[in-house]
Amino acid sequence: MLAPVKIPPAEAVKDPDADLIFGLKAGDERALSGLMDRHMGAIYGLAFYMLGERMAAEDIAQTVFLKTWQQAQDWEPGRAKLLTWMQRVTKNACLDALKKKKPIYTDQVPEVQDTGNTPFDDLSQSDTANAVARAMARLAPNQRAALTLSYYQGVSQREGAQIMNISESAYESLLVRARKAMKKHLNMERV
Amino acid sequence: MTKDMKMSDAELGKALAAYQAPAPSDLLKARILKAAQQERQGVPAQTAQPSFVRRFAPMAATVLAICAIGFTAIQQNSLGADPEAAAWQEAALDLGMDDIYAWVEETP
Repeated sequence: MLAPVKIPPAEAVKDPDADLIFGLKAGDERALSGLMDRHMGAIYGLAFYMLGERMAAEDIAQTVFLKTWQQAQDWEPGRAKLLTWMQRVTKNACLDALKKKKPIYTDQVPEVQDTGNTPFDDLSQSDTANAVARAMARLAPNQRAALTLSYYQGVSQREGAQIMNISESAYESLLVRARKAMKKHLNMERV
Repeated sequence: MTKDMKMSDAELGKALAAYQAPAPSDLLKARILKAAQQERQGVPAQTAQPSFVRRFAPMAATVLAICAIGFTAIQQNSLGADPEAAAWQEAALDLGMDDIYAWVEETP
């Protein structure tokens, strides 16, 4: 009698965090620490661009990492990437937070990348950064999430759709609307 | 990008690149690890502060102590009437006013 051959499902997803999942399931804090080293930027960044507030983004990041820690036991490898799931949890947590309060128009000066420009250029870049922050705050939350995932996190259309829990075509359409709205708001900022 | 021209995708990308999220606090990772540790020990992260019972236990003990002291004081006050009456009786007997208390002694 031949031993049954296990064929992996065609759609099984290779997760770059597979090495940490065992540790997370076992309750190993080093695995959680490693997960934060890898993905704190992505999770906190998504929350920051969606909420426009550093403290609120940190609270969301804490919620997401703790939820991952708590629910690691139930995680089924191969269904999706852990990061994709975490980004979806982040997006949902941010949408919940935004529902609970009015839109944020931040006065916080965003960090400006050091490009070695002249002080005049830096000032201009800082103004641009402020204008982008204000324009992003005017976007619909879903558009803001899609724009962040696409521009700042470079996620693929497929993963973006998974995170947003919509079809790929709906995600593409959402991105088109987000870009259009962003350009409109930025043009208004310059008036 | 210019005010009058339509913004291209490249210009939008350049503008977005100028807006970068500030780095999270240095303590964030430590905060999450501490909360995870508490989770593991069975203390819910959100209730890292003293629990309801632990917070109100000293208050309940104080209220009980006050009630106990108050009850004892009331008891002593009500009992204290008798020694005072006995003292008056003794003083009256010393002064030779036996007949005043005679009727008390005679009462069955």
